[in-house]
Amino acid sequence: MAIKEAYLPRHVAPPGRLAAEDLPAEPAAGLTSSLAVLVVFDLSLLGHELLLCRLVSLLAMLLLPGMLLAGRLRLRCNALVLRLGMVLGLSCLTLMAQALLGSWLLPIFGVSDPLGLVPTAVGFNVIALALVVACRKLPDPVAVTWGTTRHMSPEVLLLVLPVASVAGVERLNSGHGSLVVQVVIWVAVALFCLGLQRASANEGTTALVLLVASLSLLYLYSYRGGGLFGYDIQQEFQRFRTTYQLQRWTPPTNGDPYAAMLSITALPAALSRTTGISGEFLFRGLYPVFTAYIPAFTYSFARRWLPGRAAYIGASFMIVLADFAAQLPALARQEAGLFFFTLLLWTMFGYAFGRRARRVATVALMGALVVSHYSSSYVVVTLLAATWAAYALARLLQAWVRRGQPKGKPVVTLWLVATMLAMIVAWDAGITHSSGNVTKFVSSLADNGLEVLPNAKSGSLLDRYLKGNVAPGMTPSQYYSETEAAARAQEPWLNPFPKSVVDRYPAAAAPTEPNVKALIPGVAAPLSSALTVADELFLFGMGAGALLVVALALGRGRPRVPLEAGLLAVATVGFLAVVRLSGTVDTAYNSDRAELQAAIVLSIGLGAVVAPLIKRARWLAWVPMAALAVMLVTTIGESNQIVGGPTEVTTSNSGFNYQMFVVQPQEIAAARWMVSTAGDKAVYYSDDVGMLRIWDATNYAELPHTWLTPGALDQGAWVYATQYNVEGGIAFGAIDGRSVAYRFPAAFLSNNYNRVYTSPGAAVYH
Amino acid sequence: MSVSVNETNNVANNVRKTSRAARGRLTMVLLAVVAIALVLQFAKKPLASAGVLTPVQHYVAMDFPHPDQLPGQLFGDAPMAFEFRIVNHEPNTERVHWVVVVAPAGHQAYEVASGSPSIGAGRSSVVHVKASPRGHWKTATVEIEAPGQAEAPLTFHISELAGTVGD
Repeated sequence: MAIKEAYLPRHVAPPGRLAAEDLPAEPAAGLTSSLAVLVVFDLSLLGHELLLCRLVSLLAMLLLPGMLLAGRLRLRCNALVLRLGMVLGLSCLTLMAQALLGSWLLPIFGVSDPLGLVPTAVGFNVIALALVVACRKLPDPVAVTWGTTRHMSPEVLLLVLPVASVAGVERLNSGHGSLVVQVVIWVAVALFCLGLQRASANEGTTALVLLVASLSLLYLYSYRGGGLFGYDIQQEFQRFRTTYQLQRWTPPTNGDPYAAMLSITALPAALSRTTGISGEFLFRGLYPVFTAYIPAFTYSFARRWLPGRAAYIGASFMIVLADFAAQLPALARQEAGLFFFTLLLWTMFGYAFGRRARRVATVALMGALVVSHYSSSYVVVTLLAATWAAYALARLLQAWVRRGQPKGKPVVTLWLVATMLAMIVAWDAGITHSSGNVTKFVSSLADNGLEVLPNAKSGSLLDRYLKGNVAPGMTPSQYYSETEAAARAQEPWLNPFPKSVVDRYPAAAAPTEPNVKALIPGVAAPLSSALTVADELFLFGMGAGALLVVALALGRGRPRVPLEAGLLAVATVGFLAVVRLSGTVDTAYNSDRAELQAAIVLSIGLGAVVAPLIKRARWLAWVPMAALAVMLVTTIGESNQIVGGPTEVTTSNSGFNYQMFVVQPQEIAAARWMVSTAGDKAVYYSDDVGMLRIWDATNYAELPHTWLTPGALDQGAWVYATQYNVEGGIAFGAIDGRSVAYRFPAAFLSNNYNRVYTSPGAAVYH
Repeated sequence: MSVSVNETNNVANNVRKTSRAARGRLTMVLLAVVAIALVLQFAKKPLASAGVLTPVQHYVAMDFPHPDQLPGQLFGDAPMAFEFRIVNHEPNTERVHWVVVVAPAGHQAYEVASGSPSIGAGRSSVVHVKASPRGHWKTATVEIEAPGQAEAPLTFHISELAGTVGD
């Protein structure tokens, strides 16, 4: 029977052109090429001193298991870039499983370092050989992966852009100015816009454009400074370092959720130990690749049902969100979690696998998600459960109204939901005992309720909606008095300074943040308002689109997006609304990150809204695209170069974000000296951001005291001062979710403590 | 189902083309990796001069190896004894000049000791100081400065107790 080309999914080769995986099996060739890659991997392990060997062994570890597994599962995808993304995901999944099983089983046989070079390499060989044997009657997995399309498209040259991004950032790090970075930003934005032009024509090229533009922007942050950039990644790296040093992953004994996540512990430890590539490179270079793949797969997910341009706009929204480029590189666990979530959606709702293989791949990806990031998996299981329930109800109603069995089988089945729930319970409660976040959230919900818009006290309805979940700021004086009162009330061990001493050092305002002079003055405020409106309009479009999809699917016509996917989108809108409006849920799961995760699913909502407009006039696609481009330029901070505003960390070696998140080697040295001199039992103080340096530099895992004010300090404290403290005279503080920048209390510290360590960029007082 | 000879040949051709394409692509990836690895490993100087490799920061740091053993009180004209360490993070051997200054509250600060040890790159030197502050004062700040270096001085506070040693 002839199949019409139009009804085939885009990544499946149409009749007449054979897809690579449709080629007849060449058993000997398959074995030869896979075994050749394995031999190259083994040989490369002998030359750890050479960077070339390290890179080759890393590539082999990240690709070979995935290629073999994809071959075994008969992955059908002709877009090389997407195929490689799935291969990467399957490889990481296999490596995590290997590291987990090795850490459990090998010590029984007397192997004390299951994540060491030899055990990991042997295990890798065994798994690869097993997969080669499993693929012996199938087409060559290596040839299928790399030969999916016949011609090498010139677009592959776009991969130069992320390399240029790293080079530009390194130039900025070494004080050479921001010209290269600015060029990269504008090229990435141009590419991001031009991707729309090709979105209908070639799925692979469009996915590559999204990947390259995203990765270039992500590297602007992840490679910033000499250390790890951002907030959270230091604690993640600490857990990695512990696993790396132990050469074994063990479930945390204290319920620490970070130590429970294989994505930031066992996976990088096994990769780093085996290949010799540093953990820092993996966190800064590899994990952003996971994130960059999210928009590419989201586009393909939405493209499954929507026209190319509509799908492209739907998938692009997440890139312009502030958390995407600026925050995600500092959240390695979430980078891995969201990557697996996107692969999961793509697998569940796509044609990439046959029915049985899809089930296997779905369960495997669910497992990878559960061990990669706890809160992402909680959100996913909630969304899937809601979708299953809503779709089951809808099918019942359809059957009752139409008096017949509804067509098609559900994608989200009860056993899938139950399987994922069982995995979460087994992993978080049974194995790692790391479900403290859930119990904390439940008790907070029981105590405080939802706390709808907790900070909405006055103003218009719109104002209260926009600012209701945003914590207000505070003055330095308020911070001084509140921290003093709180410290004396909550810390019974505190030996504070007498009031007469404290009162001699009142709070002072922080030095002002340097500003970029506006090329076009007077535009900053209107632009900011316009972008807020645009952001809310896009969010509204996503919600409305989700409802539209469901309404069309329930109607009599042939729906563009199936009802089940529409219900998943509606469930996501509900989840987003709860996070956005409830202070309790927002505290448990940051609303900005929730928006990011929701944007993956809601790409079909946004796409569904713009699709009819684009159908009417193709040029209309450029209206939302232009808004997205302006939002992107603003998010990256590049708009400040035109309309004025604070200097941004992406383009300048000054400004608050630079001071907070770009770590200096002197700061690392000072933190190491302090912890090695004072030990783990000492009482450490730093400002709210200084603690990141302590975590980055040492294995000290406790939370240092961060109320760095005269009234809240203990007389026997060890006070860690960063470069921006001692040279910039600024400190950052937070209490009860409100934050402040204030003048570093240098005079108080100098007069009441000894300065026991000093360098041009750091100091320690005691 | 019968398959014609032509169809079989077409399939065989497709297999060969796909294998060739895969081999070509893998070779290109391998060449790219080789190029990147060679440049990063053996072309550090040009990369550094292009500003693409962040240079290591060089500086001198000072600390008290035993911060809890610093003198807090002095008896009359008894000498104070303490030690501090100078760590040279510079790429070359440095002669680091240091000065110990006593700054009594309300009085003129004065120097009580100084020195200029030569410290190798990446090495440290522990300096033992024994000095007697002069005059009468209640409290003073002792500062260990490294003139010519960018950091703030090491400091500790002392108070004088009435009487002399042996009282």
